[in-house]
Amino acid sequence: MAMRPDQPARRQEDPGSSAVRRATTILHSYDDPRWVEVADGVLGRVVSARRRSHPVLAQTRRGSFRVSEAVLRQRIQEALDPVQHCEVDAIAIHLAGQTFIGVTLIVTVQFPYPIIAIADELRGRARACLAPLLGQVTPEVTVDAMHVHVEDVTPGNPKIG
Amino acid sequence: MRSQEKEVAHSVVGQGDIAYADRSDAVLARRAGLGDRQAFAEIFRRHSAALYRYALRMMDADHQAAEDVVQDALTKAWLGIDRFRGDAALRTWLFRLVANECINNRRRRRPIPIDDGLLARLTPAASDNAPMLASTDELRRALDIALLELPWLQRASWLLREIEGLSYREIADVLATSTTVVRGQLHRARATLKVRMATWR
Repeated sequence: MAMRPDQPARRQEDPGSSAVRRATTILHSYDDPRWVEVADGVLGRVVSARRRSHPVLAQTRRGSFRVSEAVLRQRIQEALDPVQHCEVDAIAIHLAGQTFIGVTLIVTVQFPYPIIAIADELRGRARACLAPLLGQVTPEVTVDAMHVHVEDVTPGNPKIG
Repeated sequence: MRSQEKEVAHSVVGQGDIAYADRSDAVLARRAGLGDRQAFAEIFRRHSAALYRYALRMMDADHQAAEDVVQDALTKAWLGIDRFRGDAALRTWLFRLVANECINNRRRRRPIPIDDGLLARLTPAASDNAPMLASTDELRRALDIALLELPWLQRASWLLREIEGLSYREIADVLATSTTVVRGQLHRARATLKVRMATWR
């Protein structure tokens, strides 16, 4: 497009700035073949690292054993995932020493879905997940030990964010 | 349970088949904090290449050192992500972990302070050299060489701003400094790179 007489002349970019700009664009979109090669191995080693976690007493007919709190938390999260219109933000497992006392599920619920129905579903599923994992412990794992704290209500799907 | 209650109960349960790739960083971080390895794998897929790109240039193009840095940083991320509260963006948090590992790794290898004044200086201006026509790879390598000559903080600031697109506030957070310092370092880095790359076109 031809410039109008009243338009100021466009300042020409100096060679150094031009080269840096072009090289920056190239570098930004460059996939390092070395990283492509090693990434899967790095991920495998990273997620194999164990988190520190408290042991929780469990009971079978033949005796007692212990389950890691982290395992319980993970199993509860998997059990609650199918519940729609909400997302579990955190799971607090309450212990007296190594004895299970209860769980608090901290959740975000999507507006305008029924909070009470969602909370009841979450509590029931948490109990159904934990009871077989912990067995015949004292106190017994009941739905009353499952508490739900609705931390936030959002207009969008909280599972997506 | 009455039929109406059953209906409501059924309506809140579904397959929940949302792809991990469709979830936000914040949602993935919370899930990873609860032990969801797939969620962390998605975080890894999104961010690890950029983290490696930064680490490689901060570790003087040493691929093994960069890989070690990224692995150590992301291991800390995996172990500590349940404590990530979202005060900063997840990406900023990850870059902070990598930046800290770069410092730790350099101190283990070469026990000198990480100080601008002790690192490589600017090469002479290239005004006497004839302009060089560059292929894509040559231009990228030339920039990499020029970056290696920058002092550590200038290099870090430039990479985080120009390649990774972080804001001044985020860069200051990653490098544990102020936005004023970041602006100063960027200004000097840009001036140096402009001179250093002047022979390329």
